[in-house]
Amino acid sequence: MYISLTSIICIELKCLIRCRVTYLLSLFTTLLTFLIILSYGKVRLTFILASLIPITSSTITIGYTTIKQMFHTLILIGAPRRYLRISLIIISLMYSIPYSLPYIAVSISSVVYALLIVMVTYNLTLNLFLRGVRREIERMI
Amino acid sequence: MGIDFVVVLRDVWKSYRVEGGGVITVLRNVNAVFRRGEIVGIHGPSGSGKTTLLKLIAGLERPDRGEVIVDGFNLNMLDDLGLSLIRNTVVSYIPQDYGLIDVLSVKENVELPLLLAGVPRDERDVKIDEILSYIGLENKKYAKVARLSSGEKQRVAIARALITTPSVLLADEPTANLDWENAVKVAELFRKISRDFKTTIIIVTHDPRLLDFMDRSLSLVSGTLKEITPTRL
Repeated sequence: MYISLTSIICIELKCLIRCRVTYLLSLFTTLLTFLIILSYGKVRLTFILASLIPITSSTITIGYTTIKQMFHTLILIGAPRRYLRISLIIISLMYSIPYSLPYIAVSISSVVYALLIVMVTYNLTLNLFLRGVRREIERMI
Repeated sequence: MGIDFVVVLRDVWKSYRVEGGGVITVLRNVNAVFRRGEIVGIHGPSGSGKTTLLKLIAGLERPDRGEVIVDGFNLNMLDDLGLSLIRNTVVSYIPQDYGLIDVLSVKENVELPLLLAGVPRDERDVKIDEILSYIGLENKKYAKVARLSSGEKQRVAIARALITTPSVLLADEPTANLDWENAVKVAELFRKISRDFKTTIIIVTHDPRLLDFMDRSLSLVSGTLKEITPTRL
Protein backbone atom coordinates (compact mmCIF):
# COMPACT_ATOMS: atom_id res chain seq x y z
CA MET A 1 0.00 0.00 0.00
CA TYR A 2 1.26 3.48 -0.77
CA ILE A 3 -0.02 7.04 -0.63
CA SER A 4 0.40 8.90 -3.90
CA LEU A 5 0.78 12.59 -4.61
CA THR A 6 -1.79 12.25 -7.40
CA SER A 7 -4.49 11.06 -4.99
CA ILE A 8 -3.79 14.05 -2.70
CA ILE A 9 -4.09 16.49 -5.64
CA CYS A 10 -7.33 14.79 -6.77
CA ILE A 11 -8.84 15.19 -3.28
CA GLU A 12 -7.73 18.83 -3.11
CA LEU A 13 -9.18 19.62 -6.54
CA LYS A 14 -12.45 17.94 -5.58
CA CYS A 15 -12.72 20.13 -2.48
CA LEU A 16 -11.78 23.31 -4.34
CA ILE A 17 -14.25 22.63 -7.15
CA ARG A 18 -17.02 22.32 -4.56
CA CYS A 19 -15.95 25.56 -2.94
CA ARG A 20 -18.00 28.64 -3.80
CA VAL A 21 -14.84 30.46 -4.85
CA THR A 22 -14.75 28.36 -8.02
CA TYR A 23 -18.12 29.71 -9.12
CA LEU A 24 -17.02 33.26 -8.39
CA LEU A 25 -13.89 32.57 -10.37
CA SER A 26 -15.90 31.39 -13.39
CA LEU A 27 -18.13 34.45 -13.16
CA PHE A 28 -15.14 36.72 -12.88
CA THR A 29 -13.26 35.22 -15.83
CA THR A 30 -16.38 35.37 -18.04
CA LEU A 31 -16.91 39.03 -17.14
CA LEU A 32 -13.26 39.79 -17.68
CA THR A 33 -13.25 38.14 -21.11
CA PHE A 34 -16.29 40.19 -22.09
CA LEU A 35 -14.71 43.46 -20.91
CA ILE A 36 -11.42 42.76 -22.64
CA ILE A 37 -13.21 42.07 -25.93
CA LEU A 38 -15.12 45.34 -25.54
CA SER A 39 -12.04 47.41 -24.76
CA TYR A 40 -9.76 45.59 -27.18
CA GLY A 41 -6.36 47.23 -27.51
CA LYS A 42 -7.07 50.15 -25.17
CA VAL A 43 -6.92 49.30 -21.53
CA ARG A 44 -5.58 45.78 -21.44
CA LEU A 45 -2.72 46.58 -19.06
CA THR A 46 -5.13 48.20 -16.62
CA PHE A 47 -7.29 45.12 -16.77
CA ILE A 48 -4.36 42.81 -16.19
CA LEU A 49 -3.32 44.71 -13.09
CA ALA A 50 -6.83 45.38 -11.81
CA SER A 51 -7.79 41.74 -12.13
CA LEU A 52 -5.22 40.64 -9.60
CA ILE A 53 -6.80 42.36 -6.62
CA PRO A 54 -10.29 40.82 -6.64
CA ILE A 55 -8.94 37.43 -7.68
CA THR A 56 -6.61 37.03 -4.76
CA SER A 57 -8.85 38.63 -2.16
CA SER A 58 -11.94 36.61 -3.13
CA THR A 59 -9.97 33.37 -3.18
CA ILE A 60 -8.51 34.03 0.21
CA THR A 61 -11.66 35.07 2.03
CA ILE A 62 -14.07 32.53 0.55
CA GLY A 63 -11.72 29.61 0.17
CA TYR A 64 -10.21 29.99 3.64
CA THR A 65 -12.51 27.61 5.55
CA THR A 66 -12.44 24.94 2.86
CA ILE A 67 -8.65 25.06 2.49
CA LYS A 68 -8.21 24.88 6.27
CA GLN A 69 -10.60 21.92 6.64
CA MET A 70 -9.04 20.22 3.64
CA PHE A 71 -5.49 20.31 5.03
CA HIS A 72 -6.59 19.40 8.53
CA THR A 73 -8.48 16.36 7.23
CA LEU A 74 -5.72 15.29 4.86
CA ILE A 75 -3.15 15.26 7.67
CA LEU A 76 -5.51 13.29 9.93
CA ILE A 77 -6.22 10.61 7.33
CA GLY A 78 -2.56 10.11 6.51
CA ALA A 79 -1.32 12.56 3.86
CA PRO A 80 2.43 13.09 4.29
CA ARG A 81 3.31 16.74 5.04
CA ARG A 82 5.95 16.74 2.29
CA TYR A 83 3.34 15.73 -0.30
CA LEU A 84 0.99 18.41 0.96
CA ARG A 85 3.62 21.07 0.36
CA ILE A 86 4.27 19.87 -3.21
CA SER A 87 0.55 19.60 -3.94
CA LEU A 88 0.11 23.20 -2.84
CA ILE A 89 2.50 24.46 -5.50
CA ILE A 90 0.80 22.40 -8.20
CA ILE A 91 -2.66 23.56 -7.10
CA SER A 92 -1.61 27.22 -7.16
CA LEU A 93 -0.23 26.81 -10.68
CA MET A 94 -3.47 25.22 -11.81
CA TYR A 95 -5.42 28.03 -10.20
CA SER A 96 -3.44 30.58 -12.22
CA ILE A 97 -4.45 29.15 -15.59
CA PRO A 98 -8.15 30.15 -15.63
CA TYR A 99 -7.27 33.65 -14.42
CA SER A 100 -5.02 34.13 -17.43
CA LEU A 101 -7.23 32.57 -20.10
CA PRO A 102 -9.43 35.66 -20.73
CA TYR A 103 -6.38 37.44 -22.14
CA ILE A 104 -6.60 35.21 -25.20
CA ALA A 105 -9.02 37.92 -26.38
CA VAL A 106 -6.06 40.33 -26.55
CA SER A 107 -3.26 38.12 -27.82
CA ILE A 108 -1.42 34.90 -27.10
CA SER A 109 1.49 36.83 -25.59
CA SER A 110 -0.94 38.57 -23.22
CA VAL A 111 -2.00 35.16 -21.92
CA VAL A 112 1.63 34.31 -21.22
CA TYR A 113 2.29 37.64 -19.48
CA ALA A 114 -0.91 37.37 -17.47
CA LEU A 115 -0.10 33.80 -16.51
CA LEU A 116 3.31 34.86 -15.23
CA ILE A 117 1.95 37.88 -13.32
CA VAL A 118 -0.93 35.93 -11.79
CA MET A 119 1.29 32.99 -10.90
CA VAL A 120 3.79 35.18 -9.10
CA THR A 121 1.17 37.32 -7.31
CA TYR A 122 -1.05 34.39 -6.50
CA ASN A 123 1.80 32.29 -5.16
CA LEU A 124 3.13 35.11 -3.03
CA THR A 125 -0.29 35.85 -1.58
CA LEU A 126 -1.09 32.17 -1.18
CA ASN A 127 2.17 31.56 0.61
CA LEU A 128 1.49 34.38 3.05
CA PHE A 129 -2.06 33.16 3.51
CA LEU A 130 -1.04 29.55 3.92
CA ARG A 131 1.50 30.44 6.55
CA GLY A 132 -1.47 31.59 8.63
CA VAL A 133 -3.45 28.47 7.76
CA ARG A 134 -0.51 26.23 8.59
CA ARG A 135 -0.11 27.84 12.01
CA GLU A 136 -3.80 27.34 12.66
CA ILE A 137 -3.69 23.71 11.49
CA GLU A 138 -0.69 22.99 13.68
CA ARG A 139 -2.63 24.31 16.64
CA MET A 140 -5.61 22.13 15.72
CA ILE A 141 -3.76 18.84 15.30
CA MET B 1 -1.85 -17.51 24.90
CA GLY B 2 -0.27 -14.12 25.72
CA ILE B 3 -2.17 -10.87 26.11
CA ASP B 4 -2.35 -8.91 22.85
CA PHE B 5 -1.15 -5.36 23.54
CA VAL B 6 -1.96 -2.96 20.68
CA VAL B 7 -0.64 0.27 22.18
CA VAL B 8 2.33 0.44 24.51
CA LEU B 9 3.55 3.70 26.06
CA ARG B 10 6.90 3.42 27.78
CA ASP B 11 8.35 6.29 29.85
CA VAL B 12 6.81 8.94 27.59
CA TRP B 13 7.65 12.59 28.21
CA LYS B 14 6.42 15.60 26.26
CA SER B 15 7.09 19.31 26.77
CA TYR B 16 6.10 22.46 24.91
CA ARG B 17 7.80 25.80 24.65
CA VAL B 18 5.58 28.68 25.66
CA GLU B 19 5.74 32.36 24.83
CA GLY B 20 8.28 34.10 27.00
CA GLY B 21 10.82 31.30 26.70
CA GLY B 22 9.42 28.92 29.33
CA VAL B 23 8.81 25.19 28.96
CA ILE B 24 5.71 23.29 30.12
CA THR B 25 5.99 19.57 30.67
CA VAL B 26 2.63 18.15 29.62
CA LEU B 27 3.38 14.44 30.02
CA ARG B 28 5.85 12.94 32.49
CA ASN B 29 6.89 9.32 32.69
CA VAL B 30 3.67 8.00 31.16
CA ASN B 31 3.53 4.20 31.07
CA ALA B 32 0.45 2.36 29.82
CA VAL B 33 -0.70 -0.60 27.77
CA PHE B 34 -3.94 -0.98 25.82
CA ARG B 35 -5.24 -4.43 24.83
CA ARG B 36 -6.83 -5.37 21.52
CA GLY B 37 -10.57 -4.76 21.47
CA GLU B 38 -10.83 -2.90 24.76
CA ILE B 39 -12.42 0.49 25.21
CA VAL B 40 -10.57 2.81 27.54
CA GLY B 41 -11.52 6.24 28.82
CA ILE B 42 -8.93 8.84 29.75
CA HIS B 43 -10.29 11.44 32.10
CA GLY B 44 -8.68 14.60 33.37
CA PRO B 45 -9.02 18.35 33.72
CA SER B 46 -8.42 20.78 30.84
CA GLY B 47 -4.76 21.17 30.01
CA SER B 48 -3.77 17.91 31.69
CA GLY B 49 -2.25 16.52 28.47
CA LYS B 50 -5.09 14.24 27.31
CA THR B 51 -5.11 15.49 23.71
CA THR B 52 -1.31 15.45 23.57
CA LEU B 53 -1.38 11.79 24.59
CA LEU B 54 -3.79 10.97 21.74
CA LYS B 55 -1.66 12.91 19.24
CA LEU B 56 1.42 10.93 20.29
CA ILE B 57 -0.42 7.62 19.76
CA ALA B 58 -1.73 8.89 16.39
CA GLY B 59 1.80 9.83 15.29
CA LEU B 60 0.83 13.48 14.91
CA GLU B 61 3.51 14.44 17.42
CA ARG B 62 6.68 12.83 18.66
CA PRO B 63 7.62 12.31 22.32
CA ASP B 64 10.66 14.11 23.75
CA ARG B 65 11.60 10.87 25.49
CA GLY B 66 10.22 7.35 25.66
CA GLU B 67 8.58 4.97 23.24
CA VAL B 68 5.16 4.78 21.61
CA ILE B 69 4.49 1.38 20.06
CA VAL B 70 1.29 0.94 18.04
CA ASP B 71 0.31 -2.46 16.65
CA GLY B 72 3.96 -3.51 16.73
CA PHE B 73 5.30 -0.34 15.09
CA ASN B 74 7.67 1.78 17.17
CA LEU B 75 6.64 5.27 16.05
CA ASN B 76 10.05 6.71 16.99
CA MET B 77 11.59 4.64 14.20
CA LEU B 78 9.26 5.97 11.47
CA ASP B 79 9.75 9.02 9.24
CA ASP B 80 6.96 11.37 8.09
CA LEU B 81 5.86 8.98 5.34
CA GLY B 82 5.83 6.03 7.74
CA LEU B 83 3.74 7.93 10.27
CA SER B 84 1.35 8.94 7.49
CA LEU B 85 0.86 5.30 6.54
CA ILE B 86 0.19 4.47 10.18
CA ARG B 87 -2.50 7.19 10.32
CA ASN B 88 -4.04 5.89 7.11
CA THR B 89 -4.16 2.21 8.04
CA VAL B 90 -3.46 1.44 11.72
CA VAL B 91 -4.69 4.39 13.79
CA SER B 92 -7.71 6.64 13.22
CA TYR B 93 -8.03 9.89 15.11
CA ILE B 94 -11.32 11.74 15.54
CA PRO B 95 -10.67 15.32 16.69
CA GLN B 96 -13.11 17.29 18.80
CA ASP B 97 -14.32 19.28 15.76
CA TYR B 98 -14.79 15.97 13.82
CA GLY B 99 -12.27 16.94 11.09
CA LEU B 100 -14.81 16.76 8.26
CA ILE B 101 -14.93 18.82 5.05
CA ASP B 102 -18.20 20.76 4.92
CA VAL B 103 -18.37 21.16 1.14
CA LEU B 104 -18.25 17.39 0.56
CA SER B 105 -21.08 14.89 1.05
CA VAL B 106 -21.16 12.15 3.71
CA LYS B 107 -20.06 9.55 1.15
CA GLU B 108 -17.19 11.72 -0.11
CA ASN B 109 -15.93 12.41 3.41
CA VAL B 110 -16.00 8.72 4.35
CA GLU B 111 -14.28 7.85 1.07
CA LEU B 112 -11.24 10.11 1.64
CA PRO B 113 -8.90 7.63 3.43
CA LEU B 114 -9.59 5.02 0.72
CA LEU B 115 -8.95 7.55 -2.07
CA LEU B 116 -5.66 8.45 -0.45
CA ALA B 117 -4.68 4.79 -0.28
CA GLY B 118 -5.56 4.26 -3.95
CA VAL B 119 -8.33 1.70 -3.33
CA PRO B 120 -10.25 0.91 -6.59
CA ARG B 121 -13.67 2.52 -7.04
CA ASP B 122 -15.77 -0.67 -6.88
CA GLU B 123 -14.11 -1.73 -3.65
CA ARG B 124 -14.57 1.77 -2.21
CA ASP B 125 -18.29 1.80 -3.01
CA VAL B 126 -18.86 -1.58 -1.33
CA LYS B 127 -16.96 -0.53 1.80
CA ILE B 128 -18.75 2.83 2.05
CA ASP B 129 -22.19 1.20 1.76
CA GLU B 130 -21.25 -1.35 4.42
CA ILE B 131 -19.93 1.20 6.89
CA LEU B 132 -22.76 3.71 6.40
CA SER B 133 -25.28 0.95 6.92
CA TYR B 134 -23.43 -0.17 10.09
CA ILE B 135 -23.37 3.38 11.46
CA GLY B 136 -27.01 3.98 10.43
CA LEU B 137 -26.37 6.78 7.98
CA GLU B 138 -27.27 5.06 4.69
CA ASN B 139 -30.14 7.53 4.14
CA LYS B 140 -27.75 10.50 4.47
CA LYS B 141 -25.19 9.19 1.98
CA TYR B 142 -25.45 12.14 -0.41
CA ALA B 143 -26.20 14.84 2.17
CA LYS B 144 -23.71 17.70 2.57
CA VAL B 145 -21.89 17.47 5.89
CA ALA B 146 -22.57 21.16 6.56
CA ARG B 147 -26.30 20.36 6.80
CA LEU B 148 -26.00 17.57 9.38
CA SER B 149 -26.61 17.78 13.12
CA SER B 150 -23.70 17.43 15.58
CA GLY B 151 -24.69 13.84 16.37
CA GLU B 152 -24.77 12.94 12.68
CA LYS B 153 -21.41 14.66 12.07
CA GLN B 154 -19.92 12.63 14.90
CA ARG B 155 -21.20 9.42 13.28
CA VAL B 156 -19.77 10.46 9.88
CA ALA B 157 -16.41 11.05 11.59
CA ILE B 158 -16.65 7.58 13.17
CA ALA B 159 -17.54 6.05 9.78
CA ARG B 160 -14.53 7.72 8.16
CA ALA B 161 -12.31 6.50 11.00
CA LEU B 162 -13.60 2.93 10.61
CA ILE B 163 -13.50 2.68 6.82
CA THR B 164 -9.89 1.44 6.84
CA THR B 165 -10.64 -0.98 9.73
CA PRO B 166 -7.87 0.39 11.96
CA SER B 167 -6.49 -1.44 14.99
CA VAL B 168 -6.80 1.67 17.14
CA LEU B 169 -9.47 4.37 17.17
CA LEU B 170 -8.77 7.57 19.11
CA ALA B 171 -11.56 9.99 19.95
CA ASP B 172 -10.95 13.40 21.48
CA GLU B 173 -13.95 14.56 23.55
CA PRO B 174 -16.42 12.77 21.23
CA THR B 175 -19.45 13.89 23.22
CA ALA B 176 -18.40 17.46 23.99
CA ASN B 177 -20.81 18.99 21.46
CA LEU B 178 -23.70 16.56 22.13
CA ASP B 179 -26.59 16.45 24.58
CA TRP B 180 -26.65 13.52 27.01
CA GLU B 181 -29.10 11.45 24.93
CA ASN B 182 -26.85 11.64 21.84
CA ALA B 183 -23.75 11.18 23.99
CA VAL B 184 -25.13 7.84 25.24
CA LYS B 185 -25.85 6.75 21.64
CA VAL B 186 -22.27 7.57 20.61
CA ALA B 187 -20.84 5.78 23.65
CA GLU B 188 -22.95 2.69 22.86
CA LEU B 189 -21.79 2.84 19.24
CA PHE B 190 -18.16 2.83 20.41
CA ARG B 191 -18.86 -0.26 22.56
CA LYS B 192 -20.47 -1.99 19.56
CA ILE B 193 -17.47 -1.14 17.36
CA SER B 194 -14.94 -2.46 19.87
CA ARG B 195 -16.93 -5.70 20.15
CA ASP B 196 -17.60 -6.19 16.40
CA PHE B 197 -14.27 -5.05 14.92
CA LYS B 198 -11.97 -5.90 17.85
CA THR B 199 -10.76 -2.30 17.60
CA THR B 200 -9.00 -0.77 20.57
CA ILE B 201 -10.80 2.49 21.35
CA ILE B 202 -9.22 5.21 23.47
CA ILE B 203 -11.54 8.04 24.39
CA VAL B 204 -10.49 11.27 26.01
CA THR B 205 -13.26 12.93 27.96
CA HIS B 206 -13.84 15.41 30.72
CA ASP B 207 -17.33 13.96 31.31
CA PRO B 208 -17.05 11.36 34.14
CA ARG B 209 -20.50 9.90 33.25
CA LEU B 210 -19.02 8.55 30.01
CA LEU B 211 -16.54 6.40 31.94
CA ASP B 212 -19.38 3.97 32.83
CA PHE B 213 -19.32 2.81 29.19
CA MET B 214 -15.60 1.96 29.27
CA ASP B 215 -13.88 -1.35 30.02
CA ARG B 216 -11.49 0.63 32.20
CA SER B 217 -10.65 4.23 32.92
CA LEU B 218 -7.45 6.12 33.40
CA SER B 219 -6.92 9.49 34.97
CA LEU B 220 -4.40 11.99 33.68
CA VAL B 221 -3.47 14.57 36.25
CA SER B 222 -0.45 16.86 36.00
CA GLY B 223 0.93 14.78 33.16
CA THR B 224 0.83 11.49 35.05
CA LEU B 225 -1.44 8.59 34.07
CA LYS B 226 -3.17 6.48 36.75
CA GLU B 227 -5.71 3.65 36.58
CA ILE B 228 -8.95 4.67 38.30
CA THR B 229 -11.16 1.65 37.62
CA PRO B 230 -10.20 -2.03 37.50
CA THR B 231 -10.42 -3.76 34.17
CA ARG B 232 -13.72 -5.41 33.20
CA LEU B 233 -12.07 -7.70 30.66
